[in-house]
Amino acid sequence: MSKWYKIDNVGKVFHAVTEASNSSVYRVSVLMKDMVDEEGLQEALDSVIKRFPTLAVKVRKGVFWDFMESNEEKLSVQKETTYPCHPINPKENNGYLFKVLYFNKRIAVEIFHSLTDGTGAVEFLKTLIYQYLTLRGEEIAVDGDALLFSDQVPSKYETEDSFEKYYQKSNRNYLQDKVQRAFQIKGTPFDPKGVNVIHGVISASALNNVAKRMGVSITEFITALVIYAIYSETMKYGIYKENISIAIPVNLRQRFPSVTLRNFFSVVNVRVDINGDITLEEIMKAVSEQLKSKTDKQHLQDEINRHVQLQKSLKTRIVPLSLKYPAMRYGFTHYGEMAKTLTLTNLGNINLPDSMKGYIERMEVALYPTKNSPISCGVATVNDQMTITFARSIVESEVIKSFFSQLSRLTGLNVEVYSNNWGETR
Amino acid sequence: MNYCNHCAVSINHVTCPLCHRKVAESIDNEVKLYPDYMTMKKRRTFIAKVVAFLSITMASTCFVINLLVNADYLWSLYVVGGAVYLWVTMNHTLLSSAHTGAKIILQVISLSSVLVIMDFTSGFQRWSVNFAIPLIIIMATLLTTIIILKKRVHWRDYMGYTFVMFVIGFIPIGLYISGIATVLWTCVGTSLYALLTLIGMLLFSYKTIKEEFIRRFHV
Repeated sequence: MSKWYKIDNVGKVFHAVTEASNSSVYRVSVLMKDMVDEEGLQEALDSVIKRFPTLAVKVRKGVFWDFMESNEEKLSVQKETTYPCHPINPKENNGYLFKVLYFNKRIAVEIFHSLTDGTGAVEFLKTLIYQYLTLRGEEIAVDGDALLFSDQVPSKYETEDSFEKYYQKSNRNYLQDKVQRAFQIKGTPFDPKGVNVIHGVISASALNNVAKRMGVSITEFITALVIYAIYSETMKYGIYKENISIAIPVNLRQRFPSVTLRNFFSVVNVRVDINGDITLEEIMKAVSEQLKSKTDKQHLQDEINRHVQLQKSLKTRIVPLSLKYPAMRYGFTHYGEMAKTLTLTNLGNINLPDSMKGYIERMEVALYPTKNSPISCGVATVNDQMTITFARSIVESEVIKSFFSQLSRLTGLNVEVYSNNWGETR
Repeated sequence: MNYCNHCAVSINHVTCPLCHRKVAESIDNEVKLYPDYMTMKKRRTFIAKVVAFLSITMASTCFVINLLVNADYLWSLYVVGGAVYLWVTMNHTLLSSAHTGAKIILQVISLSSVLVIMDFTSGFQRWSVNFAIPLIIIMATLLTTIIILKKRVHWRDYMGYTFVMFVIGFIPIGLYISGIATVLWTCVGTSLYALLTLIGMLLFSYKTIKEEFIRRFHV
């Protein structure tokens, strides 16, 4: 009989809130140095997919919660034809909630967020590329635990719901926590609907040196610059009393030991109040302080408890899904979405075996924009090439333009920009 | 590689993706990074809209003519019922990607409703509740059973719909008890058939059904 899994604590939310303007699909992709061979990629996918049992699933409807069941159908690689983070229709994808795409030199994995987070997606992509290269006859030496092999038996720790494992019972009523409304970027949605991605490539080590000189980390620097770009483009010349809030997903595996390949992240909101003129240095200071305090273990423990407690209460559990999902959607739209201006994720420097690095140019991460948060930002680094990707669902691109211009002028570094041109005449 | 002086970035586009200024006449002959997107025309949505509009036009025109000419005999309800049924069949049964089980159930409901309206309009001789509805339910249950037997691997996907069909199978008995239907054997026959289908499923696949219940009802 097929194996089944409960959807993890964060994953349930994505099932509830996904709609046409919020695909909950993100993309992790690599640009290879050579053109991608479709047959080779398919062969690699066929041998890798069973290694990731919590990805090789289909979603089934339940009365109180949906659930995932192992999917025995074939998942075919597809040539990229539409915009990144396009909603995935399982009916057109043999039931799967993720896609493996290729286009010229790019191999991309697009995943419905309820399956896994960025860490899980990167692990899958690494194994897929390793297998792809090996099947092509390339000699790849792998030392240590840099990646998962397709012939390994998946450990039970990889399929666990780590939220449940680290949950601590608490008497705090998280429903009473007040959510502060954040400034929202407004714009004209693309017609036809779609996602425009603009990537900027910069030297990671050089940027790290610049950030260090300014006394902040790379994530803090980029976050501060994004806030400054939003401030410069939307409120510098007006009288605003707003707060710009950047939602930053935090990989909980770094604080709570876990090798789960399912979702295990929390979101930290870094907020800067704008009451008048503000400088980049002031923003950097505020971002740095908040990121440090909000990523300490106790704060993250509270976040885990909040996630789990809300779903563990009997009241939540016994309400049928047809009532629960609209309630979760309401909470998401009126609280979660309102508390942030933009989401920024930094997957960091991806740990790849040295022998694999020679085949890979760089990595890109595109996060789906949503109706209330129409611009999102994803960062990933491979081979000292940091790719900062802005995905947007609106025509207006001033914030992104301001970000890259200031990044280039402030650091003096070369920034190479390219786009998928969605919504633009070429 | 081109350079946009305005944005201070290197670009491999003719037009800067940031400021949309034209910065060069051509780009280096490099491999394209993204495909040229084609706007997909939603042909299916268009057909569905045409069917909906034709159905509404047909039904409303007939209804108005009926009221103006002879309001005592509501013959236009045949047309309205037929139009609604046509719309359901086109939009759900033929064009949608809904589960086959859901399509069968909606067909049972819509076809039964149309036949009741027709029966009612023509003097309510009860042929719809006595014969037509029981027959439709038996045929639908049989169809579901055949699909399950043919698609053994995926039969659990149909389990929920089979249970719904089982419940629907008892509607004719309800109609008889409430006095709406007057022929006992067709009503009892339908319910017995539904019951036998359920017993058969439980007998041959008890373990699978139990497991399916655990999954579907987990809290």
